[in-house]
Amino acid sequence: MSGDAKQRIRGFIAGLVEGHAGNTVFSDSESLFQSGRLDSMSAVELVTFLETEFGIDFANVDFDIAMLDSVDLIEGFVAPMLRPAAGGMSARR
Amino acid sequence: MSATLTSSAAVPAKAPESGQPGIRRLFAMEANARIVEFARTTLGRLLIILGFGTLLSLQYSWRYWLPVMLGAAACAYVAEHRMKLVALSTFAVLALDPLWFNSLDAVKGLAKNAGIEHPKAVPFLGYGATLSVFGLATALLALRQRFSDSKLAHRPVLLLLGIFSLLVAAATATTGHVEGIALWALAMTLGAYFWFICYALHDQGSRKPVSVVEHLGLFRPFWGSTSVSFGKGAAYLARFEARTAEELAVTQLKGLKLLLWARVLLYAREAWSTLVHQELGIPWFAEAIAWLTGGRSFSPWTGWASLVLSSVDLALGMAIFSHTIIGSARIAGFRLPRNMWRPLEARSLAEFWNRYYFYFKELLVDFFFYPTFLRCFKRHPRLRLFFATFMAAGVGNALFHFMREIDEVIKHGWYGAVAGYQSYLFYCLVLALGVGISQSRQRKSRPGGSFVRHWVLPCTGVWFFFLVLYVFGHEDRTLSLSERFRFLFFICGGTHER
Repeated sequence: MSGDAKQRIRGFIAGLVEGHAGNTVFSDSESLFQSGRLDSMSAVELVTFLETEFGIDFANVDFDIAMLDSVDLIEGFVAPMLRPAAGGMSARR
Repeated sequence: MSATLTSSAAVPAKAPESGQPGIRRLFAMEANARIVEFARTTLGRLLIILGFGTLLSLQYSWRYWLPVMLGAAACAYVAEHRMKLVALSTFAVLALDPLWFNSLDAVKGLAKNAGIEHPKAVPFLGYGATLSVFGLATALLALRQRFSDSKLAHRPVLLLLGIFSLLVAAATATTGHVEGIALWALAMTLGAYFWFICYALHDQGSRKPVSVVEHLGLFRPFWGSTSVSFGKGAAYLARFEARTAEELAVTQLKGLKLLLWARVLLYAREAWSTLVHQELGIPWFAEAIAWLTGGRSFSPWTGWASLVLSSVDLALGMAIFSHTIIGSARIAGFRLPRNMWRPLEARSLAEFWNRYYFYFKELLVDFFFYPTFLRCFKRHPRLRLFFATFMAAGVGNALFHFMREIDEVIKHGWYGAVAGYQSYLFYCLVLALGVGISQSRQRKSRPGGSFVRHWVLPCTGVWFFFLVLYVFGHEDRTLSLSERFRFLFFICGGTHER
């Protein structure tokens, strides 16, 4: 996954955190949802962002919000889908 | 529908230093380094477990509290085998009483009608049905592993709903025959385990699959449950395991505190209902409706008081049982978030659900909201959010409760069961519309506005909405929709006449 993509994810989450808790200081490994820093509305916005920004289709994923609980986890989730023919997951670029 | 509680509801991993004096130190004992240190000693651990057992013994017979106490101690202090010990404790509690959560009363009636009156007949049916459901779950987990790419593998609710429907259809067709008794026992038992199996099937697709025995050990785990899984499935629970001696001590102290709080609420509930119901003569909600339909004269204010009394009683009951369950899980070493967390502070309908019945809301989110949101109306953002919320708060909610009360079909037949359910369907419809609109209109919180505008008005609006909705949500299925409307009309200033 390119550093640019990770920066875009981080930038988007910083906006969510700022809107939710007013503090944008967080590390890439820090829990976002389980810690209560972000709520479900943020989860919905994050899913929509990943769909539109990276063309990810969540329809056939065993979705659990825990897999998007930190910037590092999101990166780990998104990266394989951005590669062609990655495990049958659809990805539009 | 929110995916998390605020962090304050979950147990912090470490004990911060505390300089609080006197009584406040006792209330914040998990934040006191010296108390936490003591809780890590052999004597401290012994006192925690004995305190836990004592609190449970005030409420339950030894056949339940003793294995739960011993199980919690084993899970807490033999951490390397914690999940296996959870399973062992769950099976032990089940072996001692196969009907501890599933009385099969309706099946007892069927057995009696068929002339089967041996006292061991229904418990034996309970064992048989439970073993059959465990067998079915084991087979489904194996199939889930084997065909992980199939469409059904990603839709555990649909798969299980199909099986449940077939079972209920077969039981309905054979009602009145001996085999019908066994099929109804099986259907009711599958209904009781339904959402636990859904979580297991869902977790089977996670990165760290767990053994079948560990999945089964979380089906109605020994620390207690309703048809809702407090602690969800293995994957979720694993994230809340206490990993160090200090984490365990903090978790157990918070668990003990929650159990004590549940006890205090129990006494408060008894005192409250004695005061308003017996001393002040305010009727329970169902009684007030009976008064109204019976032509007894009373004021609309008494009707409002009855509504408040009954809804407060319901909320206290919910707090007591859910704090007991979560407190017990914490004693066993799981830092689970509370099920109920300051519901009166909710500023929106969606937030209220998150604070009032967290694990039920999570169930609806996991199995109805996200599957709908991720598949439907992707090009229409507002409709997409509204429809997913409607599917969770409305359809999922209605389905959950109808399945939970499937024994109503045995008692009253299909027509009677559906007719008795009409009020709850209406409740689900209004709730879904309310939460859906609330979600669509949700704005980012902007602290700093006036206290009245930021807190008082939104909180009061939420309480009033749920208070009025309680008229239709009250679970007495003998009260018809028209009777409830009539009651609402009366307390809003309508006439007493038919």
